[in-house]
Amino acid sequence: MSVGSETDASERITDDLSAAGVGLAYHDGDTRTDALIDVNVTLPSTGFIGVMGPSGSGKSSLLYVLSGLKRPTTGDVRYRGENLARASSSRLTALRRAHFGFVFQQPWLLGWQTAWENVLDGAPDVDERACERAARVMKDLGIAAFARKMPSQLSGGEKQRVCVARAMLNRPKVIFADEPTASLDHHNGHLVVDMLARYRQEGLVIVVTHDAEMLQDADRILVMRDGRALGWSTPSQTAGVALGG
Amino acid sequence: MGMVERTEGHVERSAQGAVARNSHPLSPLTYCRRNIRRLLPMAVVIVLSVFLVASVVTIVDSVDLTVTTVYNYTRVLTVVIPQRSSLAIDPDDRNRIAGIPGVDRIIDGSGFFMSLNTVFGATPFLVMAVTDSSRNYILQRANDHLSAGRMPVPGAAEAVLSDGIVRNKRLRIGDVVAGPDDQGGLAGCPLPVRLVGIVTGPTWIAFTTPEFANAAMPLFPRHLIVTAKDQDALPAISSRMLAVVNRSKVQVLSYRTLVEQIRTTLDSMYLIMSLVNAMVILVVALMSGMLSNIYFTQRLTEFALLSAIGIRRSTLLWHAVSETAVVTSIGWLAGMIVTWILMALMKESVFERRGMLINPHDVMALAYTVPIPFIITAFAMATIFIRLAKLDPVTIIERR
Ligand SMILES: Nc1ncnc2c1ncn2[C@@H]1O[C@H](COP(=O)(O)OP(=O)(O)OP(=O)(O)O)[C@@H](O)[C@H]1O
Ligand SMILES: [Mg+2]
Repeated sequence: MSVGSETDASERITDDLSAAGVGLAYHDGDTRTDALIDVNVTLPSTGFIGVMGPSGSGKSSLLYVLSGLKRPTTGDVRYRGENLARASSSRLTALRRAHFGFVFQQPWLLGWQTAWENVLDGAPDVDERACERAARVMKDLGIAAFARKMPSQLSGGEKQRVCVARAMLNRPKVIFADEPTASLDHHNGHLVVDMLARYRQEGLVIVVTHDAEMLQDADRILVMRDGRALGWSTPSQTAGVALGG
Repeated sequence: MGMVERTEGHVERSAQGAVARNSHPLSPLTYCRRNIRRLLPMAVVIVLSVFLVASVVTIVDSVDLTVTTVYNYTRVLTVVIPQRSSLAIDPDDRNRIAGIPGVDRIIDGSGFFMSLNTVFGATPFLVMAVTDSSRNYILQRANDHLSAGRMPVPGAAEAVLSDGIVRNKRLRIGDVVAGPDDQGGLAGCPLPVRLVGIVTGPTWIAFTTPEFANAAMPLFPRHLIVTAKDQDALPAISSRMLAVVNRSKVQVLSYRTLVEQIRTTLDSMYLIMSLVNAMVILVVALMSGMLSNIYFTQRLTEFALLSAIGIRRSTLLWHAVSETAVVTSIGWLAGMIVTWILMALMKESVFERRGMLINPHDVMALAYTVPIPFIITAFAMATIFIRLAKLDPVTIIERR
């Protein structure tokens, strides 16, 4: 595994999203945990990127830092020239809404809203365009039939697909998915990852997972260990490699 | 499975088919409509507190209402009675009163007292013995008119009373209004006087004839009934009377001396009421602050998720506060309706039986409850503001 050695010709490498010397430390009383140590990565503006590594290696932490959900303790995170490490929290919130989409491990939905309404929660304005877009995305993801259902009437896989639709609603530049398949069975897991993978032309999809099989289709895979980004790998290199967790 | 939908699964039925294409999914009304069961405790707390405050105010106001109703005639006329040392007004005093500008008529009256049941016990009420023409003059000034029966026959042991007095004493035409065995201070009459007619109007008033009063009660003090050309000038004229008469010989029973003095003695009651109300409002505000804290905890994942996907904290605060405002407004409205219905139901069966005149639709009571929804919403806002400021969406979304 060597840093930056695997680049498809089709893939534009820009410095749209990058981390330079990023460290993230958690303080829990007297104990300090370094979740990220001197991470340097540059991400393409489109494509399907995987992140793998053992449990506790800092995969989630990296996503939080890249997406503005957390500020790094040290280093810079640059998104389109803006340093997220220095941005105000309202600016980060606005960025998350306008530029990023999120899929979490748990299919978090608002229980009192229908699937349709949950998807629309991602829209800044609930106007005709947002509704058309929601209808399109739900149709593309094969969940149009669930629009009127409440989350409690949906299976885990169906809920996660609603979450994917919500993440895609605003046409985000980057979708961050942190173990989106962890609570799903094999079949549903694949379904969700395939949906995410299909977004690779429109923007960048970053999927964290323990399951190498889910990343068969990925352009590249970032390997993390002990808070450090070890380097890039490919699906073929990663297949069958036990990364723990 | 997220915690969010596990705790809120029960709402599923109500939301079926409620996907209006353009209604905002985070609309506070939608939230309240679909979470009625969850919001019920808060609404009930508000209903009860509004009822408590409004009924306390209504009941305390009933004392004032009783005073002003019983003595409402002092808005129309001022009665000048001799002090205990004499049985008639000194002609000098009479002349001095007549000399006050603005006085319309000075009517010679006699009569007797009957007793009314009021919240502050048996109260003497003057049954005026005046001539027919004076009586008609007073009735017209008081905006009252005969609505049942007839006027008393001169010399007969008869009286006409206002319908309010008739209800207060639970009388019918033919019943005894006052008699030799009456108890209650000044009240009483050597012969049983019967009710022959009822007058209706805004002013409580009672009449008998001077022929009867003078024959049956020759020792009842003769008094003067003074009216003003301009009714609004009566208070000023009454004050002037106090200045010109010999006060050791004459008492002036005006609106000011009767009603306002009683009101002053009620001040401590109003103070107690205000304290009770303040305490109720404080307790309710604290309780609802705690309730909204619990609500917030239950919805922590929801707020964390929305914050993570980029909805501003101020927007979340606005949503939470509007939801609280919807609940408190509905609770307040329901509380007012409950109060009005219960007070109206209790008016005759409970209050008026005890001589308490109450206004079941008391606007003062309404005014006292207005702060409740605002204070509750403010408390909820403060609570949620603090919780939102500390909210770290990551730690909550990570939890599994
Ligand atoms: N809130 C926190 N407080 C303290 N330490 C934390 C906190 N969150 C994460 N850590 C620590 O930071 C390190 C990296 O955590 P992170 O969640 O990024 O790992 P991960 O690779 O996503 O693991 P997993 O595969 O189990 O999700 C771990 O050692 C973890 O214990
Ligand atoms: Mg993780």
